[in-house]
Amino acid sequence: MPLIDLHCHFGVTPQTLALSAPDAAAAKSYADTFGVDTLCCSAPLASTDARGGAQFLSQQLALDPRFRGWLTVSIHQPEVAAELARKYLVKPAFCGTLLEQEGDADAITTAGGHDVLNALRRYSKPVFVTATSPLTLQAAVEAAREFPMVKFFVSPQSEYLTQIAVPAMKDAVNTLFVPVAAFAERDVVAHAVSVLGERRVAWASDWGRFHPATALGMIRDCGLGGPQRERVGSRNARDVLV
Amino acid sequence: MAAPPIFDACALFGPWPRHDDLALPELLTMMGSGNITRSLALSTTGIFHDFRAGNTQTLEAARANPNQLLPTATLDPRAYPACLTEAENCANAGLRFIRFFPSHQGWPIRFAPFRELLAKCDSLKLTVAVEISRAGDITELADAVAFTQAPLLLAGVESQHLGEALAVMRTSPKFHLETTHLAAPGALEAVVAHVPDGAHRLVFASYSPLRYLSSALGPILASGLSNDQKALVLGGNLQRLLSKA
Repeated sequence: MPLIDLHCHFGVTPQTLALSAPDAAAAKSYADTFGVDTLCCSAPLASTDARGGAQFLSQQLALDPRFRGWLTVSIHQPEVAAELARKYLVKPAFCGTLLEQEGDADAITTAGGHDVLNALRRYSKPVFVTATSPLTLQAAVEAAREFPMVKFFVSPQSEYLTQIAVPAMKDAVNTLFVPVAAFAERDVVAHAVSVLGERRVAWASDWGRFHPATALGMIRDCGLGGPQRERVGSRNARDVLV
Repeated sequence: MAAPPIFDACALFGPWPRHDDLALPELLTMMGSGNITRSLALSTTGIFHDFRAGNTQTLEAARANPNQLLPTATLDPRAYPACLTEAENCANAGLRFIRFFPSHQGWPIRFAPFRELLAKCDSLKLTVAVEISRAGDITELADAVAFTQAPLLLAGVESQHLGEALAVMRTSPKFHLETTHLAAPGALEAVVAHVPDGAHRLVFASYSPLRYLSSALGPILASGLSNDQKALVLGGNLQRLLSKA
C-alpha cells in the first residue's frame, strides 16, 4: 500500500537532540525503505524563526519530488504569517500550513489565531494543527467550526489528548484525526474510524521525532480491513492535499 | 528479519483508567499471535489501586499460565513501612522482578521511603524497573541507587531523555534501558555505539495489550542492529537479568 505520510520533521527535534538531525538524505532513505509516496514535512526551526525555517524547508523540498511542506506560522506574528503565506503557499510544493499550539497561550481561537486563519482561507489549503492541552484541542475544534471551508488535520501530542480527541472532534466535520503512534494506545485508530468515519482519520509517522516503524506498526495492528486501511494510510490525505 | 521468539519485559492485565479493561485472555491471545513466548506480567490493580491486591492477582495469573507468564510485583513506597514487608512477601513467594511507577502514582524519585525500599530490594536480590518520565529522573535515580549492586531497568525513557540515559549508563553496567518509548530514529543504535556493552543492556517491553505490539517491535526489527543484537534485545538480555536475580 503506497503511503502518504502527513507529518515529518526536517532538522533538530527534542527527540533527536542526542542523535543525528533528520535530513533530506535520511528522509529519502526512509521513503525508499518503507514505500512512502509523499512526505509532508515541517521544519522545527520555523517554530522559533519563521522566515529562516520556511526558507530552509523550501530548500529541502526542492531535493526530492516526494517531499511536500507544511508552512509553519505563528498566531503571535500575524503579519509575518501573511507575508510567508503569500510567498510560499502559492508554490505547489507547500501543501498547507502548520499551526503549533505549544501551550494554552498559542490557542488558535485567540485574536491572532483568527487573523491568521482568515488570511489563510484564500489559499484553499489545509491547516495542520497540533494540540498539547485540552484547551488547545478545544481551540482546534472551535476554529474548525468557525472556518468550515478549511480542512483541519488535528494531531494531539499526548496519550491523554489522543484519548479525548475523537469525541471532541466528532461534530466538526471538516477535521481529520491524525494520531501520533508514540502516544497511541491500542484500538485508537479503530475507535476513531468507528466514531468519526473512515474518511476522517489519517496517518502520519512523525518521522524525525519517531521511528516510522512505530507508526507503521499502528497501521498494521489497527484491525481495519484493506480498503479502510488504504483510506487511512493514503487516500484521505490525497483527497485533502491539492 | 522475522522476529525471534520474544521475552517481553512488560505485559499488563486489569483495569486501566479511561480505557476498557485489559483482559488477561486478550493478553494471552496477543502473545500467541505476536510470537511472544513469555512475558513478565503485572496486574494494573497494583499500579492504580492497591499494590498488595495487585500482586496477589499477578501471582494467581502467573500460576494459572506458568508457560506464558512470569509475575512482576509492584511496590508503592507511599505505603511505608508496609511496602518493606510486601517486598519480603514477594521475595518469599518467588517473585524476582519489581516495577515502580512514580509518575503514575505521583511520588518523586528523590523520596526517603523509596530509597529504603530500593535498599530492601537489593538485599533481597530483586531486579527492579523504575518508570522515568522527566528530565533529571535518571540522574536522581542513579544517585539513589549508588549503593546497590543488582541490575536496574530504566523504564519508559523517551527519546528526549536519551542523552541523560546514555550518560548514566556509562557510569555503571547495572543500568539497563527499556526500548518501548525510545522511538527516535537511531536511538537504539546510539545506545549500542555509546554505551559499553550497549546491545546487552537494551530490553524489549511491549506494554501489551495496552499498546500496539507492532509499534513496539517495529523500531527494533527495522533498526541497524545485527540479528544477534536484536535477539539479545528481544529476550536474551532479560533472560540474563532474571537468571542473576
